[in-house]
Amino acid sequence: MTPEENNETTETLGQNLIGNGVSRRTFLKFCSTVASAMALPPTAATAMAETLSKATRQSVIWLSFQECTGCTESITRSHKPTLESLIFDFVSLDYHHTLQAASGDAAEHAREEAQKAHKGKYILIVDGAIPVKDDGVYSTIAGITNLQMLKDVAADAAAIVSVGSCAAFGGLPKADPNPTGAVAVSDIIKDKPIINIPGCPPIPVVMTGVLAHVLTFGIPELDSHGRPVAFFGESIHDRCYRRPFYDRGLFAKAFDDEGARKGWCLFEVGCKGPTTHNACATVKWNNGTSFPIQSGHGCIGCSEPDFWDAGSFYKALSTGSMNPGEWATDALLAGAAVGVASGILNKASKSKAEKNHKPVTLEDMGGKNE
Amino acid sequence: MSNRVVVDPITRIEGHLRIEAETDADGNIVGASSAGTMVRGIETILKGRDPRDAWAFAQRICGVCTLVHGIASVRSVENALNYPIPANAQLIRNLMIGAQYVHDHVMHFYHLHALDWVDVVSALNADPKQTSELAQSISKWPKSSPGYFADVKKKLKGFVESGQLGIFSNGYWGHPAYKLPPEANLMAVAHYLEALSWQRDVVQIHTIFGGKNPHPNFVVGGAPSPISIDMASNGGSGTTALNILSLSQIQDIINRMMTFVNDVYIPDTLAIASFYKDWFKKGSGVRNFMTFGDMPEKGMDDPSSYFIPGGAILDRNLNEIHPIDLNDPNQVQEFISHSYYDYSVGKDQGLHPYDGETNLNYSGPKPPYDFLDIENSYSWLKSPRWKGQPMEVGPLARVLTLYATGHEPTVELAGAVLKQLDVPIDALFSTLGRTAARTLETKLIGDQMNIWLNNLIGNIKAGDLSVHNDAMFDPSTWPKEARGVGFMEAPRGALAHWIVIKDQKIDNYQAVVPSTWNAGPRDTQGQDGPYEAALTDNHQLHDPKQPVEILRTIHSYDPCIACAVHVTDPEGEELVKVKVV
Amino acid sequence: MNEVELLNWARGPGLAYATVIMVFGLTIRVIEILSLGRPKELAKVRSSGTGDGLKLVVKRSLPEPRNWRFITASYIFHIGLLVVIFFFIPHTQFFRDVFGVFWGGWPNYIIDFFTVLSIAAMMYTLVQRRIDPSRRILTTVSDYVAWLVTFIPFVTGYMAFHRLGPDYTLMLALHILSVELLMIALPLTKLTHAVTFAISRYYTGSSMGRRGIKA
Repeated sequence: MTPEENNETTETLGQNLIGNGVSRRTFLKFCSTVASAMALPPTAATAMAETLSKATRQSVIWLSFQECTGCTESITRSHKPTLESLIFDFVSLDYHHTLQAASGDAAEHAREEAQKAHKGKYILIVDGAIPVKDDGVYSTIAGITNLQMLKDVAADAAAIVSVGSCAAFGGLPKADPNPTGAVAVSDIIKDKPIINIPGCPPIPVVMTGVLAHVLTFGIPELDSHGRPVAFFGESIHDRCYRRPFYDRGLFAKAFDDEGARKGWCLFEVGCKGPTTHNACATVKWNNGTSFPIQSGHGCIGCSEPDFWDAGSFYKALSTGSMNPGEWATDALLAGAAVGVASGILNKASKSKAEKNHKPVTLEDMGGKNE
Repeated sequence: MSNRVVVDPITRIEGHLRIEAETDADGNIVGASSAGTMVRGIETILKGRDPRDAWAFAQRICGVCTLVHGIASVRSVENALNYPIPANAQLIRNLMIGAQYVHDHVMHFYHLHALDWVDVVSALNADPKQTSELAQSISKWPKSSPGYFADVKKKLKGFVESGQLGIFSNGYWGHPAYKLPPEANLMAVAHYLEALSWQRDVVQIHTIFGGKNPHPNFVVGGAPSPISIDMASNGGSGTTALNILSLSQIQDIINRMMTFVNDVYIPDTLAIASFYKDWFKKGSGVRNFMTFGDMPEKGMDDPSSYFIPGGAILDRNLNEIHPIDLNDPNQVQEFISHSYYDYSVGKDQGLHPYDGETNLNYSGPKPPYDFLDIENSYSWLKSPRWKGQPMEVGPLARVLTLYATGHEPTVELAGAVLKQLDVPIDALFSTLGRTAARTLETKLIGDQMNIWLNNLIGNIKAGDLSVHNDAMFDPSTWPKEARGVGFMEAPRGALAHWIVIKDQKIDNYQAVVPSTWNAGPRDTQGQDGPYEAALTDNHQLHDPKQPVEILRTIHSYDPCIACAVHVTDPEGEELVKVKVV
Repeated sequence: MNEVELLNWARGPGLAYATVIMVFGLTIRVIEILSLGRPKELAKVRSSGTGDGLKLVVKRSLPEPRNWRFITASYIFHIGLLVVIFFFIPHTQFFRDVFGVFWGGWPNYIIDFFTVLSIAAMMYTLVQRRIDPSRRILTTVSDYVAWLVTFIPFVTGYMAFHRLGPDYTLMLALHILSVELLMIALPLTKLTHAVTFAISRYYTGSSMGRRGIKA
């Protein structure tokens, strides 16, 4: 079947859903779940349902570069909407290494066909950073560098979604000293709308929720880092259930001390919640089971740019990340050396001045000024 | 005529793998090269950092086996510092490792491996009533009514007829290598979907202990999640994730998880395997197997308390288990003769990981390229060897070790399975043997989780709430120099991280991961790595354009890297790249 | 540079540079002062001067009855400064990291109280400097700079803690940067008195004492 034929026989999503035994009620439920997750007005659910049921399933191409597959694993954990409902009812996931049946050339053809058939319309999802050092030899797929593949596929995409901190900000591969010259998608592609969904990995429902929003209403409101405000607008600290302990000055001083067992604030054991923007404290993880702070470990700040290079995960946010104590010791020694040296110089010049100085006598003063 | 068949990307794996296979005129694979095509340099990035932070970096080596590098990393620091951890932390780690195994193996079977054996399109011809009869004949799993399978079929039909096949696009549907009847295919498709939903439940064990999944949190010196049972005082029960409620939730999850394993995963493995018995005679790979051992009842320094013993089996001799010393500079070594790296001691020398180096030096063809230069360097993976030997690691190695050491439940379970499939014990040395071993150990380890949970609850009842040893957490208490190795049995096989600590910072860090053992390229002696050896064992490609045979064997190892398979020409004639039009 | 990079810079290299300049500068200052020695007494020495020196260190730290409003304000912000720097819990974490010593922090509401009070007191002293003609004449540009670099950390810290301003990460970065500015200004302006006040008072007290003059 050629891509063109493919297109002609394609049903609308509405037909498809009925064909798949998805009732209108179930469908509306899905839409209202998404709407509430994104804090949209209740009327949005109906509008979303209208838009979605008219559409052909949206073609999605998912490119994996310097990644660990954690983002893909995470999206399989999404409860509402589930990955199954997303990829079987709402989008057509035409290329995705971890899930697709085809391998090798057959897989590459699936990508090329989708690029052709849905030119200018498909959504490109990227996980993983892109190495650009040495012409990008550090990561290739089918003999093509990630850099080249990203440029090729991005050229005809309607929009790009960078999932995970690697695609959004460069992430772990970019951490100092960045051995492969890894960069974020937005460092390479400048002429397409890009949504960043950072996190290492991102929260499952944040990924599916944002995708559903893109499918229905287009690009959501983004912050200065390209993150959807609905999920990244507030800091972990501001929404943390342990915040009252912070305000009262009650802190766990160590893992498993009395404060830790009482669920006190983890600031002193290194929590980066105050400077981290994500929905962990509200949406939580894995069907609302828990989130890092609830399970006793401070937030490591994984949805912020360059969090890998922001100092130890176990030192409080208010400490220096480069060991100021060591610098101070060196400066003290250097200062002492210079101070002593200048003191000696001062003394030397003083005694020299004294030596050269002829004492003033009465004779000098009175003078033989006859 | 001879061909080089290139499979890149190998999909349904973790990472970037390329395989180049060389076939003779009849399509038999006579040589294969396995190549990792992506590198990040994580070991280089780790240098100079706080050793307590290392787990988070190392964990991001892989998001599928999302906890294993975290565990190996904290263990390496603890080993270097002689840093004991509380018994409860050990049990919590065991429970997390157990959950990882069950989750990983089931997902591998249904979502990464099944489509090599299951023809999704053929399922459209299934009769729901007969499918129901088939399902009920092999299991008491309740989702087996004709109506249920009719619904699944309807959903699948609607999906296929929409013309948008999504993840099923361009699959090798209709390939004669697919042998299952339509009813078995439909049943498998139903379970593919059920397993996607099942796994969301299982990972909650990680979420309770580690706050999230993928990438739960760990801490050097124990576990980060304190046990809160204190109702009265400030905070109180429920203010942290680990309390009476969540412990009973974990018990429920284990029960549900194992019901699926017993009633769906095991019967499906046996049912599918019974149609593919010829695959018990292919893909045997190297003849050596290795485990490092894991899941201690007492502590990592007491190997006698490990649930999975460590040891090496050479030349399939199950009568002798060789002890392994990870600190011995002459045992584990990594070679780079065919890898894109340089060593300061030259390209032909092996280095023990304590002295390991990660100097990237790409010397492959300039992209875009058609073929790798397999005579020289062709992979970002190194070639780890034990006493110079290539070793297979993973479920098969573990089941063999348990079997060889006379672990009773293993001997019983393996015996029953082999009997039901009517194949000899030697059948385990094969593509399907590897897949069956994975299923076996899922049950063995999953069942053991009940014991660990009971021990944890017993300790708590006895008043032991400790999960973290704070005595050495402050780096100022550490010696000026220290080094250690943290090892574990990851779902994909033996894993170890070697760390050298100097002035409270990481001076060197090397991880030798299971897929490096299995997927690494040839060594200085020209010995094939396990993938390469397995592909040359009795593999005839029916159609080089649809190399499902290659996928079956590669997937049987559950790769954790992206590689590519090339078929190369033994006579050195001009290579013909196989194109799928 | 975005706010995250700014914060990372402030907590890392920025802090390191500021520490070096401050410690290096102050050390030179102190050693230079000590090595200056004292001029030869031309008059007859009346006492060793040690007691007089120590006395003055204490005496000049005590309030004097003249212009009590101004002096109270000065006291308030000096005490506030010490309390906020050394007893706000995040700050104690900083000192614990640097010196390995932890002396316990105070609850946030106490810190908040001192912060507000200090800000008010500092503004009062500034107004006084402007409206009192003699003070206005005596005040140099350097004094205003000293006032400003002391004042800004209070304000940025207060804003960051209360989530005022555009964004917490940015406010925290600005707070740390403003403290770094203060650290740099310490050896370069009369803020050096933070470490040299005792030396200079002792010096004055003891030399007066040796000459038998009451200081």
